[in-house]
Amino acid sequence: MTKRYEELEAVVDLNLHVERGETYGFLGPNGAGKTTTIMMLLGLERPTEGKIWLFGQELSSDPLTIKQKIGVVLEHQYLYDEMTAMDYLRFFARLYEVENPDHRIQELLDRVQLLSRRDDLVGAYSRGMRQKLSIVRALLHDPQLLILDEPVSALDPYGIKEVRDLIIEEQSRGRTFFISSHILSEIEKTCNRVGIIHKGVLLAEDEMESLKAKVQEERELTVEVETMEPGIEEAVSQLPFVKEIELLAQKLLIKTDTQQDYRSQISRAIAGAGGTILSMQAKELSLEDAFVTITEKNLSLLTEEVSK
Amino acid sequence: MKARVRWHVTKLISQRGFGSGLKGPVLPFVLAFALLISALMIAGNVGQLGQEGLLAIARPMTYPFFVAVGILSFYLALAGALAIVRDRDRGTLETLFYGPVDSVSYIFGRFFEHLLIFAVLLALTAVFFLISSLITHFAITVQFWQAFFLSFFIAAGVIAFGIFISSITKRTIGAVVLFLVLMLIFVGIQLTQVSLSGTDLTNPSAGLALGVKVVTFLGKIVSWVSPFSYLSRGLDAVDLASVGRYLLSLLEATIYAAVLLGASIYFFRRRGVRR
Amino acid sequence: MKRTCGFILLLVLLASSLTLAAPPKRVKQPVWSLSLYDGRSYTSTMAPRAIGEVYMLANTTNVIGIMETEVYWWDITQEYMADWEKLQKTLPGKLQVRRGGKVYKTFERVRYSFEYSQGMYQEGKLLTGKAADEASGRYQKRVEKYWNDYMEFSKKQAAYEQALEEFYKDPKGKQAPEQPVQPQGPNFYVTDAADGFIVKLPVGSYQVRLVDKKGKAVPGTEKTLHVWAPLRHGVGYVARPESKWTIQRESTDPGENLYAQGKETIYLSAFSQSQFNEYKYVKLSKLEQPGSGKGSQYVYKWRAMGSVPQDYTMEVLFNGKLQRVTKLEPFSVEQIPGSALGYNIVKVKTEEDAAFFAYRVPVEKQGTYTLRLRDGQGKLVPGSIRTLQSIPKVNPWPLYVLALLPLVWGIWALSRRKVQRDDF
Repeated sequence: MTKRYEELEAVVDLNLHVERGETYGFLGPNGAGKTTTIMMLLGLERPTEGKIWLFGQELSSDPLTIKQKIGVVLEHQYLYDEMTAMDYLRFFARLYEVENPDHRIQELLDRVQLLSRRDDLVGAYSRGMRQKLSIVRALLHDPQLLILDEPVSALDPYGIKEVRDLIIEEQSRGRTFFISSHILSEIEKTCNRVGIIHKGVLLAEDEMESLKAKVQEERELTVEVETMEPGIEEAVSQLPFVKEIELLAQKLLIKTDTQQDYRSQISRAIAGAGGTILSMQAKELSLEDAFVTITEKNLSLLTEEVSK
Repeated sequence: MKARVRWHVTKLISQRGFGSGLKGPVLPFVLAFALLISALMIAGNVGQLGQEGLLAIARPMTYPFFVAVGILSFYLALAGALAIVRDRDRGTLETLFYGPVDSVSYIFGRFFEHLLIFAVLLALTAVFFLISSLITHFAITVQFWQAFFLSFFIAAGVIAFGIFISSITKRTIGAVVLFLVLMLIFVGIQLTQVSLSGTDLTNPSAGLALGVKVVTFLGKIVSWVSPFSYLSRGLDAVDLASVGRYLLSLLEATIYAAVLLGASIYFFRRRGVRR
Repeated sequence: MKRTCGFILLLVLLASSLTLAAPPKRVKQPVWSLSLYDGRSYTSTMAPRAIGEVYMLANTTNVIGIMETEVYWWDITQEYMADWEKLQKTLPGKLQVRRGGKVYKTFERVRYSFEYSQGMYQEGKLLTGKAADEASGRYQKRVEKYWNDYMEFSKKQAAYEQALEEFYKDPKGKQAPEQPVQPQGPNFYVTDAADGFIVKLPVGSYQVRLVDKKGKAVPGTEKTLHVWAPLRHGVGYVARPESKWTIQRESTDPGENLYAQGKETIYLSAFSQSQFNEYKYVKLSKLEQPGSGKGSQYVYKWRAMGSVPQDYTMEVLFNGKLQRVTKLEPFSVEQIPGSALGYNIVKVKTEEDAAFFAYRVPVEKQGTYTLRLRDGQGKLVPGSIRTLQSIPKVNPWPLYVLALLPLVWGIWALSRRKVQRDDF
């Protein structure tokens, strides 16, 4: 997809592929084109070039039927303040032709701890409550695909955990998620694959670990030994893949390349030098680190197949 | 499938708006105002009969009825003008379009919402006039029922006009201003036409001659664009007891509403649903 | 200082009065001089060059004259005026009527005049050809005879007065002189015969112009002629209640109901009427006023065309059943003698004694009366049916209560909203 607004190119040659049952994290700095992409996926903006396929069907061929399979929670919660939560959800349940709507509504409200507030006016809800209500609305019709933009931004830690648990539970039911969020720790916990967009261009799209691995230039291992025998440091530093080694009392901080997992070789080297390993921990690159690296350096990590 | 979903959504949107409209505080006051004006007109006739002992009056209920319909239509036109922009302003329009809602079902949903509200108001107005007829012994004539039936079609045109205004404006205040400005322009052009007809055109200046031509041309446009021209033509049709004119009024009002709704859908799509 | 101001003021007033008194600009041009039939009689109007559209009733005989004259705008009455006395030059040619771009008809000038057999201010009759000249000649002769008779009378009157004076000096044994009888002037009027185009056309819009011998249009003579017909015909009534006979209510709309309160006797005078488009009707007689009929393009009015024939009878039905049949009768109003105020409406024997002619309809019971006319052959006269409702006195205050009932709904809605807001 490409989306142009007069002289501004908001999205350029974007190719996304989300598998059924996958939880896809869509990341990017502010103004990267995330919301524009989501608007196009929902049919609320028309791509300047390109086509959108959802559930094996082109979106423009039958948007009404396709949208019945999608649940949406976007960053800003625009709700009917003059309605009670129950009436609000009933309206949307009817819109999506949900069977046994009251039962479904109550079940979902219970899951997000809003059941006791169902007869309150939506206008009286806090921001966090409104966000939860939006999530309930999105789940009402048992959609195959959920598009979430900042689903937890207004929630407290308890609320975040509730929503995370809900997402994980829904994942186990085979639901597909497309999540855009700035809370990268949550993305790390919930998403299988991640796409990173910057200035309208998709820079990276891969499994979480693969993506980190691609970005990670070196791996750091912290090895704790029982006693620091004299030959241990030399034995480890002689290993060809070791880039750097630092001694801290009973600990060795070892930096290696990221070609493979070298823990067994390091273990053998230490054991060969007479050392006894008490613990060995690898420091993983966080998604945040990967994200910052990719976007700051405008690093394109797409393979040829993906970029086609 | 598409048609079924669209019809389902149209019904739902119209029902929601209809329900919230009837529960709102503004409608009853508008209705009371309209009926009060009609009551004053009817009471005037009662008073005249009491004073003079004899009254000759055609359709004693029909003119007050048309006045009531005019007031209600004006309010509904304004309500229609605010319908879409308020949803867009609040952001609830966007939320609605996440679901199986498209511009056709949305526009028609809002249109039928207001038309249903008008139907309720019309029914209550008819009840008022029926009871008034019993109180005053002024007859409800065939023309009253003709006016009653016709007013539904005319209201459809008036509501469609309001919705069209709503579809081309961005903000609530813009819709209100545009609606009022257009009403003033329509009235202004008609008044200018009437006043220019008494001007000396023996040797008109180029400016005046051009002015007269322009105003005449604009007047013709206004007679087709202004929703209240259709109300006026409808009243004439009932007055003249002309079947041809009556049917023509029905047809004109229907076509007018259809054209405006089509245009509303077009402009709504172009503007989009986002704030 | 005061003197200077006064002098300046005087100068200003003088200058403005000179400006105001400046004669209007006159423009020589072809003008349509029109005698148009309005359903009852002929009206005179004219269309200078600035008036491009003329209106005429369909299937009626009208007269168009096309002459050159001086036209000026008269601001006081907002109309064009023609100085016929200064210049009235008939433009030669034929009147060509075109429709749809083709020639529909061509008219030649013929002689015409108007005869008013009941005096100048009554309805006129158009005479054409020889009859026009003959009638005009007849009238001229009658007028001449009258003046001759009057001259004779004047002489006789002078002689009489002298004889009377002599008689008064010594009336003994003498007979008073006989006063001469003043001659009667003509009781009819005929206009001078003139040449014009006698035009009768069906409904439609036409392009009309004067063409010369070669068939070329005479510049400035072309106009659009809208020929139109009344919308409907019917019967109108003037209703007078006996208790307040000075209050007359006209009922022209066939849809009108008459309402009376309590016991009453209603006197109904009937007239035939037609419904005209008000704008076009006004233009039949005021074409020279561009502002005439303004705002009435879509207004339709009933206009009386004349009294109904005397052999028409009125059927009065009460609640659907025939109650009586009344004839058109002459009535007069008699003041009750003495200091008490009051009057009686009485039937008179001769037409000359009548104040008005009417159908007398006593309204004795409350209910619905239907009134309708039948002609001399017993046929129902179209547009003559009216409903007369006799209703009791009514106090209208319940109407206001009824009108304000929706406020209960409004108050409920407001209180509901307040409760919701308090919950916020």
